[in-house]
Amino acid sequence: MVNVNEKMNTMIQNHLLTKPTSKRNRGHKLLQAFTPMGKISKCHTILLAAAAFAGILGLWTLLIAVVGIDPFFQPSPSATLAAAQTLLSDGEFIKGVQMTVFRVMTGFIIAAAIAVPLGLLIGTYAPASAILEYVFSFVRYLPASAFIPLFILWIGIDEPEKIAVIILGSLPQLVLMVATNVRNVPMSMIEVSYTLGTSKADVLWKIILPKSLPDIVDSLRTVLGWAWTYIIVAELVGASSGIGYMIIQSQRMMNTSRIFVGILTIGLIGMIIDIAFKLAHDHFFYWNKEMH
Amino acid sequence: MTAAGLDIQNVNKIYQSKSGNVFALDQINLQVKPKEFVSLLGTSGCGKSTLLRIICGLEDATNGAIYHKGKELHGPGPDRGMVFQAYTLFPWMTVSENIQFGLKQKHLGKKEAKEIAEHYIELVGLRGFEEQCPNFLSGGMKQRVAIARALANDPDILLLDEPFGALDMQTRGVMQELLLNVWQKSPKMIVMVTHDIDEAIFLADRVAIMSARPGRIKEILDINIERPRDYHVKTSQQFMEYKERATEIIREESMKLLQPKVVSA
Repeated sequence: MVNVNEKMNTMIQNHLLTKPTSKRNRGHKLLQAFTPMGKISKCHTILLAAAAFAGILGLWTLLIAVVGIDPFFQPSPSATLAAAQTLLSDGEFIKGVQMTVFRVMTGFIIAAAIAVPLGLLIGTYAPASAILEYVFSFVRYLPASAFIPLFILWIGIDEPEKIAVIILGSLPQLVLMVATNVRNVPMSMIEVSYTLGTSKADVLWKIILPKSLPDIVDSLRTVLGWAWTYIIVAELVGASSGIGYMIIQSQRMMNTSRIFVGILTIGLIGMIIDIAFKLAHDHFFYWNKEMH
Repeated sequence: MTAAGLDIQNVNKIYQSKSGNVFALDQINLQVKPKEFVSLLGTSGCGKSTLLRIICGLEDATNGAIYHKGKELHGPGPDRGMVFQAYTLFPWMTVSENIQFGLKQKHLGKKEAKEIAEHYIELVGLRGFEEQCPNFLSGGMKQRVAIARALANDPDILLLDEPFGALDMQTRGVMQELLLNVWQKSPKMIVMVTHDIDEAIFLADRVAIMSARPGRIKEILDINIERPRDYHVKTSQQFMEYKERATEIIREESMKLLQPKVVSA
């Protein structure tokens, strides 16, 4: 019996260790990837993603050249690139970008530091949910951007005001999302931990948090995206630095290509953050993939 | 009454719902001796899993009480290990860490915990998979880890809730033999819920057959098949006789459930 088991185990292990390594039929493999929920190689992913960006760039160029849109309304890729070069050589723009990143991250980290524990409590304990869930459902719908004039009145126009907008915009959303993540922890997993001697007080740290952590990190990633939209709104009103400030200044100078640079910079930063989150996810939460 | 074993006395369970009360368990009385293997056999909805959950302490009985070693049981505890049908392994831990989990709750030394885990990994035939994460294992292997995890904690009672229910027939057969093998090496009181008649008879010393709505223990079969048992037993004359008897009772119950109820105006 044991002998058979060992044989089986080595067989399965060998199977797990050997990866399919045929490098032939590359194109064929790409076609195969078009099955629903099919798998795709890293190389193909990068290739297709790059092609999508090239396509957008091509379409953009075509729009200007063929359709003949006034470059004042819609600057050409080359005009945008030139504007980017001037902005970058200035040094002021880089400082502005740093400022914006600093504001978003500060606001977001404060929001996360409060929202994750609150979400854990709401998702785990019914009384905590009764007390807080409806409050946050209510606050979640309060438009953060409408609070900007009030925040300026209450806090002033310095950094705390912008950070407050980020917190108001992201904290209530995050609280409710984390609570949902926590509720997805299977009850049987909690029950089995009781039968292994875990106390009710420890279940939160030993089972619920580690099990829901990958989902919580996903929620953080989503909400960080929203935080970026709030910071630009906050910087459009009453700021003296940052990407949003640069955009509103460019509007006054009718410099559309600079506005484009600002928007595209935000897109680029967002994409880098997303990729960083994805890589971190693959690295820390590799165990969360269902294989069978 | 066995002071050393498990003693279930007059346990009732009533669920209240909008459409009225559901009598899930009605006057359950059952005694299980230490190191005895008892199967709870019945059709789905007969309350066998509810009874197991009450023994485990995950649910309360509406009336009645359960005693173990003469003491009344309240709530779950490490004296009663449980293996569920659904995979409840902690996916962020390796196989070895999963098996050591209960030992760490007891604040056992690292070295000692590891040694115990090694022993059970060997026993369930998972050598070489210690550092794998559960999500990379097959269903049968996952349940082997779950059994090892429950056993490593050295509970007085092992409760099994259709542990092989999600496995294919062939794997299930292998797992049943593995469980018997493990149980013979380190005997423990086992109460196992199943709807598989063969499985119930093949493994147990006694099979408690339950009726549905309300859930009652209808008959207890003493399985006097010699141990150690292997799969050959399943084709023996003796086994067939037990199976016939159990099938008759279960069939009767299933038929009852299928008959349309007369609704009084």
